[in-house]
Amino acid sequence: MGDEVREADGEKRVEAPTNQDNLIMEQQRQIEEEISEAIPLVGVKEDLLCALEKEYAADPIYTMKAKDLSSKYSSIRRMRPDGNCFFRAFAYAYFERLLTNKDEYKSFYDIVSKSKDDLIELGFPQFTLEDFYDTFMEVVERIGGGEMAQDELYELFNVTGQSNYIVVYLRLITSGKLQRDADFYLNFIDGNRTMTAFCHQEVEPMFKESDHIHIIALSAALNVGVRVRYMDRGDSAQVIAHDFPEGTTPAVHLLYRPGHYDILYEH
Amino acid sequence: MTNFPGAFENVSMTNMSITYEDWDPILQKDFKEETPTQQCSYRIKRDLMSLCNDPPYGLFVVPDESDITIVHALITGAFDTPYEGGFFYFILRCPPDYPLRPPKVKLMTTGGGDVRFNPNLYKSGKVCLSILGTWSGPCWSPAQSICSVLISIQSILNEKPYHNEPGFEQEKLPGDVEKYNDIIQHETIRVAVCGMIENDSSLTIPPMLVTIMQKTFLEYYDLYESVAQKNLGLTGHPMQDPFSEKRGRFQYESILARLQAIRAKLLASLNAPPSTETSDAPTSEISSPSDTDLDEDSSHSGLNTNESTIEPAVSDAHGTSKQMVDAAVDKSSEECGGTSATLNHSRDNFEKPSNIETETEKTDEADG
Repeated sequence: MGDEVREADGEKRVEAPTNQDNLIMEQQRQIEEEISEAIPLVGVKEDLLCALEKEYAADPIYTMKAKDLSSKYSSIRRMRPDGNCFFRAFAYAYFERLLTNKDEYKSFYDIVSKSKDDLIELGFPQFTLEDFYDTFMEVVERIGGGEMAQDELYELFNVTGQSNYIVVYLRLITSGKLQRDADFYLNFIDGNRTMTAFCHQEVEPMFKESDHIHIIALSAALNVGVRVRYMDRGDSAQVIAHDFPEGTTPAVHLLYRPGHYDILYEH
Repeated sequence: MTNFPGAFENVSMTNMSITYEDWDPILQKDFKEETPTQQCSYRIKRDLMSLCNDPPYGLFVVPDESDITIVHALITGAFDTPYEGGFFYFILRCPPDYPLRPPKVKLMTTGGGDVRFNPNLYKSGKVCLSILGTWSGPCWSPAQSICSVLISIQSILNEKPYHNEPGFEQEKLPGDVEKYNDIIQHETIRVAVCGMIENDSSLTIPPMLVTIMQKTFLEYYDLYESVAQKNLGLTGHPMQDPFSEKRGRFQYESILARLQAIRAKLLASLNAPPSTETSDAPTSEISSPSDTDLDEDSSHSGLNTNESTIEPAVSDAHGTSKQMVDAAVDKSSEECGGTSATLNHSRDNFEKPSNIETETEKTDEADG
């Protein structure tokens, strides 16, 4: 009697043993994971034109855009394409800047050291936050102590545990900002999701790619301007720039190619 | 669509609709080869501590004696649900990069792989929850914890589990909700109460959880018996599952006999003098001095199943579980040395220092 109903619901809920499709998908996932893990979390600084011309040797549109980009930027630093690239690129590029910028460091320090309490106030459980916050602040404090050199920062960001904890904490700050100013940010998300649901689905989970809304919220939360250069197949010869939040002076420059962010360095 | 597809992006996408055998914590071969990061074991300890400091009602955890990444959990079915008084035993295993990825969870209370307790709890033990990546919806985030996983599981053991099935938010045929609840209630008492106390599917359940189940059994006994008595007439009738799951027949008559036998056996072990007891931990726990109130209660023929009689078991269990966590923490902090200083700091909040005694710690102890 319940049979028809059951069938209408499809086979999704049947406790089926692993089928061929699942195995194929699992295999595909493993291959992608291997490719991704072969690329360092944070790469070395490379000459921009060299790197991109080599990559797009047979591609006139991208070669033209690479040339345009090289008139403004000298170098590129690649990030591992694991869905965390925006957050990791943001953190690395900005921390690198803070190594030599004492004034900016002070105001950044004030903002981030308060951030844990703000998140607790929003209902994040303290004990789950603490590890991420502590790791994040430890790095921030070492930067401010003046004892950290470029290559230390580079090494630190390539230690999976620390590197990922910094990403987690930036995701939480982003989520906190989106929830705090939900009235505003709700205009930017599709569907009938609440902001909390959106954050649970798209912001807080690791390995989830970032969209404009993530960038706007994080740059606003930390008061750090971000300029993103969009490089795609569009016919304009130039690589379009977007500043977040609008009208701010960028402190971090990123290159966006569909699905991925890398760090750019100005001349 | 991407030059560099985010490798893990696809995982979450495929998990939305399709799941692999990947969910099973016991079949996890890959985890065994990797040692957990220090961050991972530190965070698992914090998860356990937070559960001990502020234990959610009806939820108990015990760390595994030999493996810090394994957690044993017991959820007792809540009031006003068909799961009331049932013992649902879960094994959780945290991946080496926990909390970046969710734990794997398996329900062990399945009558040996025979009973599906909920649209989201398969008889294989698979737990379908979006935060575990085994169901669609909000994914896992590192801000979640073992506690939030267990609370999510509690929430699917609800009053009308029929509606957990997608597309069944409305009752398809009148009476289906009740029909499903009747089956679940029967299976709860048959498998998640009698079966768990008798341990008829030979599970290796941590002694502390066995103790909690035994105590809770006596406290809930009246409820179990009244359900069996009320439904005796159903005995021999087939259980017609609205989802066409193959079920057997109602067996309230034999269940009643089993309940009575278990109760007699437990009471006998409670009243027996300590010297005649066997040496296994659960039995000796039951006759510990802190259980005197239970002794008194159980000499009456009728036990109340109201909240106040349940309190002692919960707080006792809570205390025991603290010790267990401490033991595990002590053990593992020796192993990973570097973290022990910070660890001691946070442990001061709720535990009695075992070896080093400073002035302040002595005060703490006196207060506690």
